[in-house]
Amino acid sequence: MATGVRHDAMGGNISFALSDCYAKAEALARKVHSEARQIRESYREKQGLSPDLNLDSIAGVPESGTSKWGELTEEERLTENAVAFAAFHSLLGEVLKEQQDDLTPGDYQFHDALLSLLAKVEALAESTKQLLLSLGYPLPRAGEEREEKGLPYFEKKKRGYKVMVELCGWALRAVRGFSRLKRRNKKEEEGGKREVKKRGSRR
Amino acid sequence: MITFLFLGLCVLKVATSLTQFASIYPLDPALPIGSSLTATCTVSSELGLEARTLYWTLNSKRLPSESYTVLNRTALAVSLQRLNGSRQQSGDNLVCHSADGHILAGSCVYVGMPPEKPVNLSCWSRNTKDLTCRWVPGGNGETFLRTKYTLKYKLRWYGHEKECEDYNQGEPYSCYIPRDLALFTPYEIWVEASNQLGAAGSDVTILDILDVVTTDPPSDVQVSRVGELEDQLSVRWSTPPALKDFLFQAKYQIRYRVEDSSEWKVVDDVGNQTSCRLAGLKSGTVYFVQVRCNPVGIYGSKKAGIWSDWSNPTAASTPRSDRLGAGVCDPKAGEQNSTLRRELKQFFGWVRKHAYGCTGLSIKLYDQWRVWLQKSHKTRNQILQGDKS
Repeated sequence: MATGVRHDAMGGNISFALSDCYAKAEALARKVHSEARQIRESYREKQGLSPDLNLDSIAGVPESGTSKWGELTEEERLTENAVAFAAFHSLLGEVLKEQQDDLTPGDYQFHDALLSLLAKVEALAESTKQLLLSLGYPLPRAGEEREEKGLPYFEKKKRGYKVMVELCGWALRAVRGFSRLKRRNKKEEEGGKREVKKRGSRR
Repeated sequence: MITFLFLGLCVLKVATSLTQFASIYPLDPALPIGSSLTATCTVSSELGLEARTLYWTLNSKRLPSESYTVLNRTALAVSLQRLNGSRQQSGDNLVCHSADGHILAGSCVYVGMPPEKPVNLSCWSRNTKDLTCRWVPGGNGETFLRTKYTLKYKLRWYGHEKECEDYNQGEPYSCYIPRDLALFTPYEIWVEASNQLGAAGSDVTILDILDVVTTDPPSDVQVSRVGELEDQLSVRWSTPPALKDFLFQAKYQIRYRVEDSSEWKVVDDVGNQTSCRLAGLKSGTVYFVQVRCNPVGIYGSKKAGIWSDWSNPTAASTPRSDRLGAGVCDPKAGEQNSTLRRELKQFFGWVRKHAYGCTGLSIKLYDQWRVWLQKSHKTRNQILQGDKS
């Protein structure tokens, strides 16, 4: 009986710890989304780009739009998020460098904002990987090293804007994903507690 | 069906890689304000687009077709006259589009002016350890282009020039050199401004670190009452710790204000003491007091030195007056007292120096007399009130 109680308590603790991880990851994803939205607009103005700029022709930036999000498994969603945020960490670093060196040197406030977002994206990539590990899923393979191409300035501007647009999209996907995981975990927690109660009353 | 799918895929491929099949010349040019520019968009024949169907935008605004010239089947030029300064620092976007609006190619055009020589270069060192320099861009500062400012420095008679690296100190047009600065030998310091249209250097400033030293503010500032004196407060402070062994010639300044006022009064003649008495104050009033330090004469420097920041404000209140009419402020009387006290102090100093025999006279005697005066006023008032009852 003692073993059964200990096992249930441990299962409850794990569930609680996961719930805490989901909540923190969701909160971080929300922050990334909020900051990315602000910086996206600021970026567009500073680069003089039109709000309806067509981003189709820009390659190399993970696109967040998908019709199949609801059909993905939990593992697939988390894996895609982990891959995307790792890529955005690298891409955002390039965007920052381009702004510092070429496009808006001297705009230190803007660079600081990008740097702050970069740190949060790195943290989100890391949190997502930790969740994959906690849930026993394999980590995705590290992406290939991107070759830095010497793009003309206008191409740099467009690509940077696409990075901001898609980062917003992925952050929103992550918020929804973690929220869903959190709700499911809570249901399981409550189901587990009811089961313990039942077993307890039968004894 | 298969043919349709194949064609659809081809269109998709074209749409996603149009920019590989078109180019603009010149790419990312820099031009002075007022220049003209002729740019050419050339499309690959593989795209199957005719030059006459293309159009140009500048910063998302469509350019009039009257400014276009069809050079041949695949090349369309646009002429821009009397260009204004770039709308954004990242450059104006000159873009070539296909008829349906797709972007074929883009070029960032930088229109501006070469920089003028930076001016008003000034530097200061905190505690002789570092150096912060500040300058003002020449002219009205607006070049419309990204202009890089580099602060350079070298020992006047030795060494090669170095560049300051830390520019982001929360203040534009400033740079911070954190360490490895030599004392007792002069530096040459200047600022170079450069952009795509030219460069300019400031005048060279020659300075010795010791001549531009500022310290931390004085520490442990304490403000307290002077016995029962209603119009005085005593201020004491400690020499800034970092240089305390070298500040024997330092000067101090005090400023104070009434709690609900923004007007500071400055006491300039504090000298190099670490205490001072404020007089001529209002009774029953809270005062905020700050102190700052000027490291005059540090390490033998002959220069004026640079005032530190003010210390954090310290507050204290003067005793409340119990005299009849207490609460009625007579600032003029207070000021007269302060002037009178200062004159008396000067007089006593002169007496001690020149009039032998009057050795007992001192400002302390005057203060004691004032305390006695106030006490005797209190006693008189008590007696008077007693009489009334």
